[in-house]
This record gives sequence, structure tokens and C-alpha cells, in this order.
Amino acid sequence: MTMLIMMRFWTAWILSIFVFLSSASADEENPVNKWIQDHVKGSVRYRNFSHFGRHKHEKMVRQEGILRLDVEQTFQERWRLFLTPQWKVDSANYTAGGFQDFRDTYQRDSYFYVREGHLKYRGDDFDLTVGKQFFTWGTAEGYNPTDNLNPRNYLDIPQREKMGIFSFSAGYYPTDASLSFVLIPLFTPSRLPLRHSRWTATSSLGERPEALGSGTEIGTIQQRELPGKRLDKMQVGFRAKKSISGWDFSLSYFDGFDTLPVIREDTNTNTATPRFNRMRIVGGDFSTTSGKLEYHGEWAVRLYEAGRATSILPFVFGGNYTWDEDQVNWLWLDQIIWTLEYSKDITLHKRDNPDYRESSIFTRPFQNAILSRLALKVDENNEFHLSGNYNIHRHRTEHHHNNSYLQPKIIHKFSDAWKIEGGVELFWGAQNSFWGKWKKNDRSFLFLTYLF
Amino acid sequence: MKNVKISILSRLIVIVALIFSLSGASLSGEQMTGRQIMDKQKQLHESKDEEFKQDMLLIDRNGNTSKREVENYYLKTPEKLTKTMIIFLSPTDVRGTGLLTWEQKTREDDQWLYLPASGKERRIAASGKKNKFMGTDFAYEDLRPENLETHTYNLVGSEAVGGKDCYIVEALPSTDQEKAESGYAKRKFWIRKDIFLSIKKEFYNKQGQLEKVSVDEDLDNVSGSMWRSKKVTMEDLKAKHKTVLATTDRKIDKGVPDSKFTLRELTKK
Repeated sequence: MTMLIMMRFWTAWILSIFVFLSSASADEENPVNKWIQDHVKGSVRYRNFSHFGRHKHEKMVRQEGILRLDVEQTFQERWRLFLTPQWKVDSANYTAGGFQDFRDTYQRDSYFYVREGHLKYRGDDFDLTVGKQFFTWGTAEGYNPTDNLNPRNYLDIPQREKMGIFSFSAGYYPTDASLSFVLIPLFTPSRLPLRHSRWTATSSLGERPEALGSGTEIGTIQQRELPGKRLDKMQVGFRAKKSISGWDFSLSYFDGFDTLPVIREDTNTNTATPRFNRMRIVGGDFSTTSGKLEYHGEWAVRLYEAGRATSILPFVFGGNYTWDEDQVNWLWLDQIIWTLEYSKDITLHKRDNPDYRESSIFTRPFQNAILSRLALKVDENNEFHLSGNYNIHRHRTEHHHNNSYLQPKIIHKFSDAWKIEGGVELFWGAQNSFWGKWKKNDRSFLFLTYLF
Repeated sequence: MKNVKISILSRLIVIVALIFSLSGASLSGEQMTGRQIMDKQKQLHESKDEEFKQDMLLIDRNGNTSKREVENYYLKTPEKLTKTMIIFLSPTDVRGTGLLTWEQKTREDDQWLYLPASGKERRIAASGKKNKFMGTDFAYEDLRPENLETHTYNLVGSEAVGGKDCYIVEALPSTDQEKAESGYAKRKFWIRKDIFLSIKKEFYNKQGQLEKVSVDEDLDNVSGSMWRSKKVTMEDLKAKHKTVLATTDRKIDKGVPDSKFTLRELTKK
């Protein structure tokens, strides 16, 4: 088995190297090569995660190889096709299966995956897009309460990469403003940690996986119940944004499903069924500057249907402060940017449906939290980043203990094409707190990237 | 007697003509003040809008080079304020990065940065004027149009550069804000007398030391009295680092629309 995984790993690497080398050395006279050089960009990434502690089901070291292409073609000036196919292998079996299903509901990553792919029509002051897209709503940095359209890949919790979602979107752009509308016809859930991976939420006993972080231990977890493929299960989002006198404001509304499940318990059969809860979110955000300080705020009223989960109002306030070269050159630095945010959520309506349990510590990680990042730029080729999150809980309950996460990281550019990142990720807290669940997962990481 | 009168009259005419011709020369040349020369430069070479591409070649003290390609857009609004947009085309690690700036009269400029990796534009505190622009030897203030209202300009001499006679004009920050924000105590411009275009600049730091020198080459008469250089070399004398800006595909006053300077264009959405 290990042999097979390693073979896949190296096959992908050889394929990657072959593709970019042949592209880089392509004869410009050949029209196909010329088209590739003009329209295809991409990257090859090697990622290594070396854990400090052992795990029953996983090796100490996990390696990933990713080849990603960005293919772009414009037709008749107004039409634009954009595709990001990706080939991925990893040594811990997080990746399996040749292709993703259209709805993207597999529980593992697949070897071949279209990360993003859409066709856009650009009018003078409007555009229409169809296909797999990414949406990024909100002005906060560490956590965005209004950004709920795309599911996330939680196979590796700290990475929590966003997943593209198949959707139709329309944008209208009057002066200094934008109005956007999104329709998501098919629901795609977030990809949760595998049942026997390092990132599975475990109970206070520390061994047996909880029912998806619900705080209960249930014998059998049934297959997920996904929202049906019906008109009334479609999801819609709307956002209006305006810049006025040095301020950016936006208001948003989303009527759709939480991409993380709630648990329907059946005590008679000792089973739990993950289901996806309908929610309505009204949100807003702002951003402005004063001297070297940029400050922002973001909030969302998140209302769940039929009391199956607790309705909440999460908000984030914070800012970025910049120290420029003339202020920090005595430290041999070019620039320092410090981001500091405070996040809290307020309970609006407690879950009152007795048949359901919610994975509260998974969906509400920043209930009273400080999020911060310090970026030190030594020069154009060297940077040091220190990112962290501290969750404060004055009244300690089973799930609410102080817990924290810290990530120091060094970034070095060998050239415009080659970049290396390395650092460590450290987790603290009680076993049932958000980061404490993974306190045995402290690790170092090393990413090597080649861009072409 | 009549001939003597004619002779005296003709001499007087010649003298008056000479006086007039000399005074005319002084109006267009040696007696102009530094500010008048700067005004003339602005009047002759300022455009309503521009778009162009630039190759930026960065050369370090060991001769190592790296190249960046950018797309620039510039617009002068009816309120006489500028809007600029810079999009990076290469290298790959910064491709798609964009910076949009709206100049403001009574408050800080609006500035947004778009990083493709984050997928969203972010309002940012306006970059310090002294900061280097994306690792080049140009500070942000070097790339902005000259603000004549925040400096005093003194004509300090004449000198030939590349065989062309030039005025030497010294620019000193005149407002408290400019003195605080600018990285320079003084700049010197070599302005060609025939076309009123700066072809060499010296930048002196706050300690009064010569820090950088820029030289404009490959001048091009782009339209009417308007000239532009196709190549600018900025050298940081202390760091022994050089940046060569080569401009291509320049379009002037072709009507870059206001809609080009929006968040939609910044993010290419």
C-alpha cells in the first residue's frame, strides 16, 4: 500500500516536472506552444508536514505534491474562460479516486480536481458568470462571519482551504459601488476530517472520535443527508458595496445551508445522522484608514431554521498598522505590518430542537477571541510572519477552556519562480476546547513552490 | 542734415529693437524663475490620461537582475485630482497584483491593494511616500506627478547634459506636511531649455547627502509639445542598486475612462 502511494506521489511529480519544463522550453514558433506560453500559468508545490507526536492511524510525516494550472482564454473581448485544474497526491491517503463528482461531495480529495472553472461575460457595467467560483466576502482577515458561500476543506484543519462552488453570479457596477447576486443550485458540504485522521475531533477521553464534534459519543454515524436537488433547496446570496468619503461599506444577505452539519440523534438505534441546516445570514462590514492604520469591522446575524442550531451574531473588529522603512530600518527591516482583531459571538436563540445536536465548538471557534498576525519584511526576498489566535473563556465549561494556536513562519524567495516557506504550528488548550483537540498535532511544515 | 536725422533714427530703432529682443530672450530664458520653469514644464507635458506598459529591470550590486512588467493607467479628473492604477503582469509570484489610488484634496488618498492569493481587494493605509515601490529604487513619491504647491523651486544654474542645454532647478519641500512625509531634503532637476522636460534628477536625503540619481533617455515627442522618455534609470548610490524603467505601448489622451479606476477593474471581476 505504502509502495503504491509513493509510486503515485512520484508519478505526479515526474508528470509535473515534465509539463512545466516542456512548457518553459517550448518552441515559440509552434502555435500550440505559443498559446500555452500566453494562456497557461501554474505552480508545482511540495508540502511536508512533520508532526512531533505519534498518532495511532497516521505516520509522523505527511507529504503532498500539487500541480496546479491556471488556464485563461478571452474570446471576442467580452467572454473569458478561466480554468484551474489540479493534480494532487499525498502520503496519508487524504487523496483518493481519480475524479471528483460534479457536486463535489467526496469525503477525500481526488487526484484530479477542477478547483475553479467558469465562463464570464463582461458588459460595460455588468457581468454574468457561470461555473465553479470562489467568493470572498468581508473585510476582516482572521475570520469572516459574512463569508459563507463556499465550503471549506477541513481534511487538514489549519490549512482549511476554500473549495470552489458551482454557481451563477451577476454583478452590476454603478459609480463607486457594486451589486452582486449569487445563485447556488446544488449544495456542496465542507470536507470534514477523516474519521481516523489526526484532525478528527476526539472526546475528553481523547481516543474515540466524537460524532463530528457534537460533544456526544454515538455508536454509528450514518451517511450524511445532503439537501435534495430541488428548486426549494437552491441557495442565494446578495451583496451591495459602496465607497463613500474614505469608507468602504457593504451589506449582504445569504439564504442557504451551513456547510458544516448538525447531528440528528436516534437514541433507540444509537446512531447519529449528519444533516445540513438551513440558515439565513444578514451581514455587513466596513473598512477605512487613518494615517498608517487601517481598521475594519464585520458582523453577521446567523439565523438557523427550526431551532436545530443556536442562532448567533458573530462580529470581528480590528485593524492593520504599518511601520515603514524609515521607522524600522534600525531593525534591518523594510516594513512591519501588524494585524490585530477581536472576535466574539452573541447567542441570539438557543437550539431548542431536542432531536438535534450541534457541533458548537467546531462551528463557533472564535466566541471570545484575539486573532493576530505580525509580518516582518526583511527585504523583497525574506519575510517572517507570526500568526496566532487566543480564545478566552472566563467561565470554563466542558467545551470552553482557554486555548490557542501559534504559527511562526519564514518565507524566502530564491528567485521570482522558486519560493520556500517553513515554520511550526503549535496548539494549546484542554482536550475539549477548539485548538486543544489537536494539541498532540504540533508540527513543523515546509513548502517548496515553483511558479511558471 | 536730413541724412544725419535718418541715421540717428535708424540707430535708435536698432537699439530699441536690440533692447526688445534682449528683454524677450530674458522672458523665455535666463530670467525665468524656478517656479516659472516648473509651471512651463507642467503646461507643456501634462496629459489628461495615459496608459502604458513598463518593464522594470532591477540590477543589484553584483549585477544580478530580476524583471517585472507592469501596466499603468493614469487619469486627471475634472477636479484636477489624479487616479492611478498599476497592475503587475510578471513575474509569476506577483502576477495580477494591483494597486488603485484615488488622490484626495482634503483628506488622505484612497488606496486599495488586490492580491490574487487572497481573492479580495483591501483598503490600505496610503503607502508612505518614502517607501520603495515593489523593491525598485523608486519611492512612491518619485512616481507621482510633481506637486508644485508643496514645494519651492529655485533656479540655481545652467548645465549641458548629453549636449543639451539645461536649467538646474532645485526643489525644496515648503509645507510642514511635505517636509515630514517626503524622504528628501532637496531634489535637483535638469530641465532641457528647448523642450522644458526634466532629463536628470538628483535626490538628496534628509542629511543633505546625494542618495539617488535618475536619468531619462530615448526622448519621444508623443504629441504636440508633449515629450516623454522611453527609458529612465534610477540609481541608488548607497545601495549600489539600479532600476531601469523601459516604457512601451504608451497612449496619451486617448480617453481612458473613469470606469478603469474601479475596484472591479482592480480585481478583474
